[in-house]
Amino acid sequence: MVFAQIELTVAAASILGCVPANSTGASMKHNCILEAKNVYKDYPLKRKNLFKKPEVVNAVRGVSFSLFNEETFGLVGESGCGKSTLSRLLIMLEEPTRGEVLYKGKSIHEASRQEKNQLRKKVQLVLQDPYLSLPAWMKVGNIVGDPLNIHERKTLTKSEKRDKILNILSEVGLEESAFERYPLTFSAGQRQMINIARAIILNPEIVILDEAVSALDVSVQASILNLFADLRERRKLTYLLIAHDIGVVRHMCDRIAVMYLGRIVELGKNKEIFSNALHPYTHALLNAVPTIKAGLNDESVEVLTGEVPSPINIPRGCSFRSRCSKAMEICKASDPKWGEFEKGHFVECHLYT
Amino acid sequence: MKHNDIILSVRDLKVRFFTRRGIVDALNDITFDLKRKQILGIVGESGSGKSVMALALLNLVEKPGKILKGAVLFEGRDLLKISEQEMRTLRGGEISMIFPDPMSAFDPTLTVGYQVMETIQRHHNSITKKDAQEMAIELFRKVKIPSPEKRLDEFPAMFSGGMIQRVMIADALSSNPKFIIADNPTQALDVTIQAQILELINELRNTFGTTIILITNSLPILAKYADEIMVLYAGRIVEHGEKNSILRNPCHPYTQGLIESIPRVSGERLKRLKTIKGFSSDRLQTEIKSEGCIFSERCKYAQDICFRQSPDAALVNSSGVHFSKCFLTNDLSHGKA
Repeated sequence: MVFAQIELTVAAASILGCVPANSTGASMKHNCILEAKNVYKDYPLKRKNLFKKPEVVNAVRGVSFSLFNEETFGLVGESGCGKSTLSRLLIMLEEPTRGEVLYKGKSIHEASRQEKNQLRKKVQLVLQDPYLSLPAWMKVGNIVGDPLNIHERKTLTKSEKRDKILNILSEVGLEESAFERYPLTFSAGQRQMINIARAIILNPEIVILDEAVSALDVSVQASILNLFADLRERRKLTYLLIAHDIGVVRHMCDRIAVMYLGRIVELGKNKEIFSNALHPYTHALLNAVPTIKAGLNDESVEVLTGEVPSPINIPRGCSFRSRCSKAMEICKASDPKWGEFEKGHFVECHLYT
Repeated sequence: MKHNDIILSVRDLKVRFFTRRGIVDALNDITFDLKRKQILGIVGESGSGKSVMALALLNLVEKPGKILKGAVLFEGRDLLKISEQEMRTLRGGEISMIFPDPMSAFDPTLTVGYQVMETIQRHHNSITKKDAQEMAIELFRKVKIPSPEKRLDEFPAMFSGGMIQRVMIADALSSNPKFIIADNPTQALDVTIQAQILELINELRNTFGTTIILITNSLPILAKYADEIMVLYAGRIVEHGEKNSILRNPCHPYTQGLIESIPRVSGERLKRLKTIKGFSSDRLQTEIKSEGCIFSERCKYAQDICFRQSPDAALVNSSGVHFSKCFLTNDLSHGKA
């Protein structure tokens, strides 16, 4: 039974892989740059009983998707659904329990030490909290230049390094004087600019934005999102944007994946997700977003009842069924299959099989 | 409007923080009335003085902050003048507060039941422990916590973010308050859970007639749940009025900027978001700059007069329920729907 399940997801992975996307005639732009193939990540808990197997947190449960060159890919879901774990798997901060991550078709787990180092340069991360993610004791210039100390220590002279840092600072919209100042003296939005400067100084191909704007005020958020858009244009970046704010995802992303309890339950182009959402969970997420228009018209909110169930020892069947308004008998009995509803629009729900 | 209708009336409130680096004008010239059974939404960016306002209304501003002048009249009594003893019975009694981070508001070493019962016993004299427990269970039921008897004996860490926020609300309700200040109650929550909590708060008003101040940094939330909206910028009220009027016809450039910078969930996808230029200024400097409109440096409509003189509250097209502190109020009115 377990094997059957794995086979299924492997099949799904191949549907999702880069091959069909390339064969659709979308040429250069749809080159697959990073790919997750049926990735699992389990965290064992402390053993409670000597004679029993320890319980396991299934953080990511068989996720497959590919990141195309120069696209912005959005990952949405509630807290605890595995978004951040997935991003950590992609940048080699965690090793998957099963499955593999491919960079330009090559497994990153089999790469040599040197190749891994090169790879780390290519994939950078911007984190959520603009206060905790910057060391308070370092000057901004040193923070932004730190990646150079690690990756380009031998190739750059001191003055070249300084020039490079100043260039990057001005590129993200900070003044030259920022170089000598400490993070404490900057506002949250400016701190996030410093974070971005640090992430792009090594000329990465992929930048993972893990809730990078969710701690900011809307007005500041808007300028940071514009900055992301400018950098994408100028540097031909690929973004993986992790967010819980649907508005941000809609504004930024070309394709969107909705995650629930460690699995992607729906994946599609921006327009399809917003105009033709399939999965009941996607519907619920979209409905829960407060908007000024809906508020003024006093539209009633369809509140999703209950909370995300525990990711420990998840039972079989659809994991969303406990909160789903359309749950049926079959949802309890068997796992829903991942399938293509329309071209490029995938869903995992019994309603569509 | 009958005088009786007004539960809270704030007059010319001024709060300053005297820090080592200088003086911060945290709140200035705050004057408003709040009617019974209303939900007043206060919105503004971080550092605009929203939370200081919540504290000042309860006379909880601590050093280095100080309430310099003003009056907070709750049902006719000035909360800034009554004794600390009286204030203590009011706080958590007739007035309750819901905090943004429920996880750190509870003591992690005591069960939530113990902590809620403690509040109950404090505000209901000579209640037996058994009755207090019954009451706690009843409260848990009111805020829709499943199997309350069981959850009473659990510790805060065993609750999810949404559930512990419900416990916090139950705790705030334990004294049947007339007035609740909710400071960013959904800050740490997911959208789906956020909707649940806000619906719950709205229900409180509808079933118990509680007056609520809802502090948040999200205008869309207020669009749904507030009756009135107050926009704060750098410690000052820049626009205040009835919800529909504010959102359909925002007259202050700052409010307009706030609305425009929200990424849209429907309609056309914009290439770039509209922004408010600059960042909110370092609040230490607002003290030095005493002349001119507080928003003038970031305002795209700023004229000479804006840098010289501070605008008074102007009534928006004689509606009587909508004020904006801007020289251009009537020019900007009905600029957008």
